[in-house]
Amino acid sequence: MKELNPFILHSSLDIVEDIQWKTSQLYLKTIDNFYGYYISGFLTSGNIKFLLIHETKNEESIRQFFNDLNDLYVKVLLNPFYKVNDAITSPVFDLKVKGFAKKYL
Amino acid sequence: MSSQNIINPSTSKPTGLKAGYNPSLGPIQLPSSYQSQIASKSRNIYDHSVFRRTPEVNLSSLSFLFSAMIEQTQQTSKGVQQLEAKLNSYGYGVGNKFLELITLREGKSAKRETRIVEVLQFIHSQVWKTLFGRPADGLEKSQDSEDEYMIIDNLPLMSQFISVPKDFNQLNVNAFTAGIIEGILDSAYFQANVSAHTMAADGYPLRTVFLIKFDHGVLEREAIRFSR
Repeated sequence: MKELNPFILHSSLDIVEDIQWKTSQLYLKTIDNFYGYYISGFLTSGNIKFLLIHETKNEESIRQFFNDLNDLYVKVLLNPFYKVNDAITSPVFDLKVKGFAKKYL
Repeated sequence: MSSQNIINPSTSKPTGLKAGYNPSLGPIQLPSSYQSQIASKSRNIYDHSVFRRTPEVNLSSLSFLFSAMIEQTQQTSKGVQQLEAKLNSYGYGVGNKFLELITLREGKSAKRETRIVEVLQFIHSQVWKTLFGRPADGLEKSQDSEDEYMIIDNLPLMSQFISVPKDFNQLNVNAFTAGIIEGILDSAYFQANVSAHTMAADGYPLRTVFLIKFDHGVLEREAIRFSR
């Protein structure tokens, strides 16, 4: 199953692009599901997409997870050596995201 | 346990790769001893808070930095047009990042802008307030063409201490601010060209008009999405 995850997430990008002009919210809630897996989405104001695939529905904690992730992403973005759409390779970022996942999900 | 490893690529062991997330290989696992080593490193950018109560800088240092920037740009560019284009591109990067920061700081009331008029009002009020401490002096729609809007500033902060010589008469250093606007609009998916023009009025010799010309596709999308 795990090896399919990237494909499931990428296929839901189309749905994100459809929703993004219908709502002005950042948090898009659950936008798609795939055989018992849910996909939640979040759009930053600069239209950077965060997607999360999960098995249990828990909107509030996912919202908090995304909000903290957005905060972290802005910190990456404010780094003058980072350009929009570059890959984020920082190990600290990776660790922090895993920390949020433990805390909220 | 084998399902844990299944996402890892079958390529030969990556050598010389840094830890973290590599988009072509997926997450790169580290031994836990190394993880604690990273975590205990001295303060990094992720530990700083981006929520500052009064994010203000000194006007004189800002002006000094900006004039040094213009001087440097002037030396490396041929002619006024290239100089303006370069200033614009400096601002563009700022705008890209500033949009994200300003929405994050709004906290709970944060939202994305989905309509042309709303995004322009957002720039006219919120962005201007955060950058220059007051809203812009005017927001107008061009009468001649559908896709042109104007933001007007009677006393632009950036060019307050800059006097443009006569042989540079076409130059408006607010091209930098125009670049910021362009960066914000572009990353909000409202692709546009923004340019700054001096249009002096009574009592306001520095009065600047930021001309915003949206791409055709933006207007088309707006018509399809919101005409119903």
